[in-house]
Amino acid sequence: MDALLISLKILVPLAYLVTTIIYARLFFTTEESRFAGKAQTGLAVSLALHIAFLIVLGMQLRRCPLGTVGEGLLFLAWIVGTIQFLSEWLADTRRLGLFTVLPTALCVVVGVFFLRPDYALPENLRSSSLLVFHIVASLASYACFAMASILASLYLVLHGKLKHKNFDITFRKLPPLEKLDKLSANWSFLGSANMVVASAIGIWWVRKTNMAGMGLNELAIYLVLAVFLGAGVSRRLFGLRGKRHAIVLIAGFGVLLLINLIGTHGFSR
Amino acid sequence: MGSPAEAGARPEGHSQAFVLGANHLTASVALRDRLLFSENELPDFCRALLQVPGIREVVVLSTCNRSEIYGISTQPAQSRALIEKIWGAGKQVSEDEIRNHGYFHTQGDAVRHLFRVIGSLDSMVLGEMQIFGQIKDAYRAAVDASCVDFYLNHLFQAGIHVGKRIRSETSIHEGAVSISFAAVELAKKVLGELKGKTVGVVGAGEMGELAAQHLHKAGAAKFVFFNRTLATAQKLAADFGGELCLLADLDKRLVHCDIVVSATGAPDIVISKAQVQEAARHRGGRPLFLIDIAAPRDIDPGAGEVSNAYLFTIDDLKNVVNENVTLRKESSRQALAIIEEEAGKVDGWFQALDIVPTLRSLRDKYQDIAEKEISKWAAGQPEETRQRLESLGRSLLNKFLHHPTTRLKLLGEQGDGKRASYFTGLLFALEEEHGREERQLEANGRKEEDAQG
Repeated sequence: MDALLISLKILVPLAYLVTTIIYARLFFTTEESRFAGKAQTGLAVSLALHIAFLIVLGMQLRRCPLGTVGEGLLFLAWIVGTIQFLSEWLADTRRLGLFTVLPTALCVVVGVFFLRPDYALPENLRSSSLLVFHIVASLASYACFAMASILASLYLVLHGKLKHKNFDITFRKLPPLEKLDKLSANWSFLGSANMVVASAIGIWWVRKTNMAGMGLNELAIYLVLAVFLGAGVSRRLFGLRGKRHAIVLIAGFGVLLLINLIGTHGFSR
Repeated sequence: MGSPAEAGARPEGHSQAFVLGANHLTASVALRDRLLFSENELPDFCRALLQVPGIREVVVLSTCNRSEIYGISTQPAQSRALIEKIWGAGKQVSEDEIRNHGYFHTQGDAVRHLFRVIGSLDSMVLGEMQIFGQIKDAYRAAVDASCVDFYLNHLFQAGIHVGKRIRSETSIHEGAVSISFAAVELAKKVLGELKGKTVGVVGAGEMGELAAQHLHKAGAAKFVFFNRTLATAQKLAADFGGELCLLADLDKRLVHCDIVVSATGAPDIVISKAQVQEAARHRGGRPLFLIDIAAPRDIDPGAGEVSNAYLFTIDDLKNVVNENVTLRKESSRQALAIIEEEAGKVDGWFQALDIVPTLRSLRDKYQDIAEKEISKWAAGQPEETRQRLESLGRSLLNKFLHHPTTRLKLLGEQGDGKRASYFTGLLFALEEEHGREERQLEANGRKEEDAQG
């Protein structure tokens, strides 16, 4: 089991890095058909290895592998990769693969680095199925916010290229500005919905286990939720679109990453 | 090894592909117009061509940029002169004019020419894909008129395959290569689909009308025409089913426009930065796409700095076109590689045909032997036994001839068909059958020469 885990620890990041290179070539070439099939195969192999890694990790830890920052990042990366893989089937989004697979690969590399197989989860956390649902819903919302911020970043890139009249290959390959704006808003909405569910489960779990009430740590995450929900509401009611909307989404995701990485909420150990 | 075209060369007497035509590179518009065929003329012309000695199959392609006759002939050089005569007579063009302003290619060169045309590498606008449909139509028309058989079927199917590969594997057709399309392309880059978008056209001149036409074609349905005098823009508004507004009302209406095309002859700025700023503020963050195609400029250059407003001038559109032309040229190299790869396969296919008579003789000979032996052994046997023996004979024949057949085909594709035929004939004593075929071929040639005489 140990040997398998070590092999997967090396293989999974490697597979994602190779896939990222193929997606990069796909994006920057005029011969897309040469790389399209290879990119999708690469992503499929990476995801298969990734899920095998999570299963083996779970078996090794004898619990759901969602207890530490490293495990969380690995799970988050798997969701983002799966979203990319599925969206390639549903719509022609291969050109954007580079921008989702690259952060996925980075998450995997950092996740593997932060893995702590010796860390024993406290018994009250280990036995709670509500906590698992809370974490899964939270990570799903993070994945949606990640997609929203990736698309918002691409919006800003295209906006800059249009303003500076730079009609290079990146300009040609990116989807229309309006589409990027709408897609990022949709992912942001989905993320907000997931985070509301995650928060509701979290509050229920806290009450059920008689844990301490809301503290500053929890308030921080609600602040993020408020930012994303606010961006969505402002878009609908006050027409907060385009560049400003994109900046708000990216900032919201940045804060979210910060909260989790410095351990203000959630994966605090 | 010879050149790729030479690799596909076949001796006189064998069926050979050829193309005779004139295009935008070799003939003037006036001559091309005279050589053009209408849809109604094509079937009769094709039938007339099939009467030419040596010609077996024809496809005629006739577009505003080219008129070409693709055919299969056993004596292409002689066929050329006769086709020029018939074509010239029908169109009141001298044979010399066709010869001096046209081109004639045979075998490998003809195949490569067809592939270049279908891949739009030979088009006036590199990468325009209209020609692909036109060739498919010409081929279909020739099939309907029963002018196409074994050879051209294979050639045109291969051509269509090449066209599809070029379209899917290269970027040769991507990006606008005209100013008007570049404007539409940029509008789509900002706004996505243009369906349901409102277009404001400032100025009632020709440029504005042309831009409106392209945007209309791209899906924009709502048009507002702004002009100093309503009477001038009235026709435009009627043509596009649009609204008519005085230029003075621009302030109020600009906010409702997603795209603004300005093309007036005014000496001063017509749309100021302040106007754009005001409109953008009330648009709820929706982008405003502005194109200034006037000289001197109509829109204040500062308008491009307004958030969510995107301003492009005629120079920007030219830059887009230049970038796209460069991209298409780069892609044409990939397209040429595809053409060479696929033409090589067709060359191989033509060469493999040299081996066909030998294969037929070989099979006939051994089938004959098998049948004779089976009938000898089956004499007096019950029906069931006879059927079993026949089945055994067929099965053995197929198994015995499988390897010689596949190897001979391979040799044929590699260009060794003649040598392979010769040695197969010697080894399997097929001289009689070969001699008979060659005599038949010579007799056919003589008949055709007599007919010409």
